[in-house]
Amino acid sequence: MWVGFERRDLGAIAHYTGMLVASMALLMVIPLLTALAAGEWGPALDYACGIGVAAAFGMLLAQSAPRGTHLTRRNALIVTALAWLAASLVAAVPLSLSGHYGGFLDAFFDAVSGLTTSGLTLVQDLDHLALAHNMWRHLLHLIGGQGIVVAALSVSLGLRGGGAMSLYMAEGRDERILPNVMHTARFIWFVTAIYVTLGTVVLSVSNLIQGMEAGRGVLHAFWATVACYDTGGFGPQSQNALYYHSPIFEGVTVILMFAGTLNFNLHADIWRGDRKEIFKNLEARALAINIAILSVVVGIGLAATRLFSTPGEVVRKGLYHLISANSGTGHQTLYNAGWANGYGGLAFAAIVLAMAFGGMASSTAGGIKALRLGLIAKGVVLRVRESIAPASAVVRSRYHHLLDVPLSADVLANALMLFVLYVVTYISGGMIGAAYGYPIGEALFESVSATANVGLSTGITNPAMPLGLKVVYMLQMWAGRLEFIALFVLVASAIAAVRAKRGRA
Amino acid sequence: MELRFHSPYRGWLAGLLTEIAVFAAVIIVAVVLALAAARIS
Amino acid sequence: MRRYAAALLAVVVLGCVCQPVRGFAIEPVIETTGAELASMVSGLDGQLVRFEGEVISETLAGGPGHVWVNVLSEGVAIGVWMPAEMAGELEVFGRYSHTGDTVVVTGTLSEGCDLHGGDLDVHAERLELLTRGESRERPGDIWKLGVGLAGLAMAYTGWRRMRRRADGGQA
Repeated sequence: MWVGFERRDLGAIAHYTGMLVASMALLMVIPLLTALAAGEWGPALDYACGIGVAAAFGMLLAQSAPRGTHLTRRNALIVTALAWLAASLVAAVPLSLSGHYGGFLDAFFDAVSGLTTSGLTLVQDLDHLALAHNMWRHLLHLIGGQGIVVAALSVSLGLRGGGAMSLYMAEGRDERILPNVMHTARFIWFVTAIYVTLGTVVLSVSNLIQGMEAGRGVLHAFWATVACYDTGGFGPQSQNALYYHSPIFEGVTVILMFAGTLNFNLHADIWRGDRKEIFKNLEARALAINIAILSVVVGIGLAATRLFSTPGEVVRKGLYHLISANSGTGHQTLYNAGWANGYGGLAFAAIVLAMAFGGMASSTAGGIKALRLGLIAKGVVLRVRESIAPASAVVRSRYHHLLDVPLSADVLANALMLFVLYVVTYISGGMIGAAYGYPIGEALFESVSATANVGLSTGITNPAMPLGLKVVYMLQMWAGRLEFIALFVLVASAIAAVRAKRGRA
Repeated sequence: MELRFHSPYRGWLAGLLTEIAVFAAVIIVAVVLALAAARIS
Repeated sequence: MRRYAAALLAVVVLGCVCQPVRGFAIEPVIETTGAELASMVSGLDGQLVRFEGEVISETLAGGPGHVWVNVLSEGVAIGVWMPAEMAGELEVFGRYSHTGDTVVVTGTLSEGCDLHGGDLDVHAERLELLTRGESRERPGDIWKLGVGLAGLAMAYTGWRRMRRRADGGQA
């Protein structure tokens, strides 16, 4: 049954989308201040312009309904789906004015990639990009990682009443960590603040010892922390993590990637004092097993390439990329071309699998997610047990995720459906890349990286790539971050609306 | 399960340290596994 | 017989002595770029290479007596490891406000460096400064401020109208 649209629905959707867009204008004040503090007058003007455009566009949309308008569940899903696009659209304005992008589409690509915490980038001459623009790119990771809705709630302008909770639920964060949406948002920011502070301090010390200038050292530390904790993958330099030539930097960023891929519910449970949860939790176990198996595969694969002469090198390079891929971060200490030309074979396959599987649900990680893989594995075992057991026996399975829960057909079906959707998207994107003439392996790598919001690249993603492929990757990043459903609701509603209009005419 | 009603703010430091210890443990296990794999092949 | 042995010995000794000199004279230095070095298919692993580029990092710590300098060449930056005194001449590194020193690096490429955890890097033997870096003029466009202010004014009137409507609705 498709419920048609009324004028009121459109008004409510536009109103809330507008509010979210307007909150982007407020957030742009941070890079503006960065520019002013660093004496970067050109970029300061870019942000002055961006703020105006975002505020005007947001307010224009917001006027289509009065404040506090009720938002139904379906409309909340549509707002969420649209908000990521609309927010990216205005976020791209200052970036495109920077002169470091081939055009507005390239800047839009980076904004989508930033907000979805992917990390694929089309920026040119990154090593000469202004501090302000780098601040904005990394801030996009932070905004998108915590959730645009959570971010907007925190700078709270008019997102009150019935709308907030539905919006929050629609953003792919299925569970309520705390009973009230404001409390939940506050807790998410609390965890984030602690990890970001800790990471920034440790990496600042590391960068300063390494010999970086004070201001730059601290900013780089903050950006690296945000990019890892929000499993983003942008870096302020074209060499990404290789720029720092520091094992300490690599170690700290790996810890931050883990922190970023941990389910917020798990953070809450552990911080409440239930420390055993991390060992009992199905999702934590699934992720640990996943990493353990793929570590062995990466180890064998990279050793087989004979590019590294000691096992120590294999481990340092292999595990950094494995965890970067599995957590959906995308930081690298190898050059893009290496994936296409050097580290092929088993290690390449392991990295693609790690990206495809992804981290935990209700975190900033992308991909299929460990919880679903764990559930599917449990489901397979259950089916085998059923087949072996006598016909009269009732076979049941339970799993532990925050609570002890019986494995229901519903939960299993949902996990399988999303698994299928992800896999179909991975493969379709790979086929499209291959159709554009790229080798199928690399095209699949890039497609998985985009859909699972990872950001590792074989080099296909560059400013000179075909326009169509840029759009495809943007759609994949968007769909992957929304976990498809909100996107499908948007499409279905649009079709329903068109049909209703035709019916009336 | 009365723990679920506790505030997650009170035990944050112990929780944070637990998390970091677990991450480090996972990394060490992964390093050992990968090292063994790289050595054998 | 003894004369032959002596002659042979003389040749061997001469050969050994001359080796380093000959090695220095004809060891090929391959002119290349950062993009080629990072391609992993250059076939230059372990070879002496020379490339020109812009310094884009401070001199970063690289273990006792050594430093790292990142050099941007043809759009790809390469980490160059060198003795600290070699980098003594460097002053300006490239960033938003500055173009860095342009240098010519001569050194050995490792696609997976054993000394540095498998990094792709170049261990420099020589570093020449071509041109000194300088600060860059990057003027801004004032029209952007105009657009921004106009947008804010529009947003403000929109906000007021929305609030008035909400108040009116309640009244």
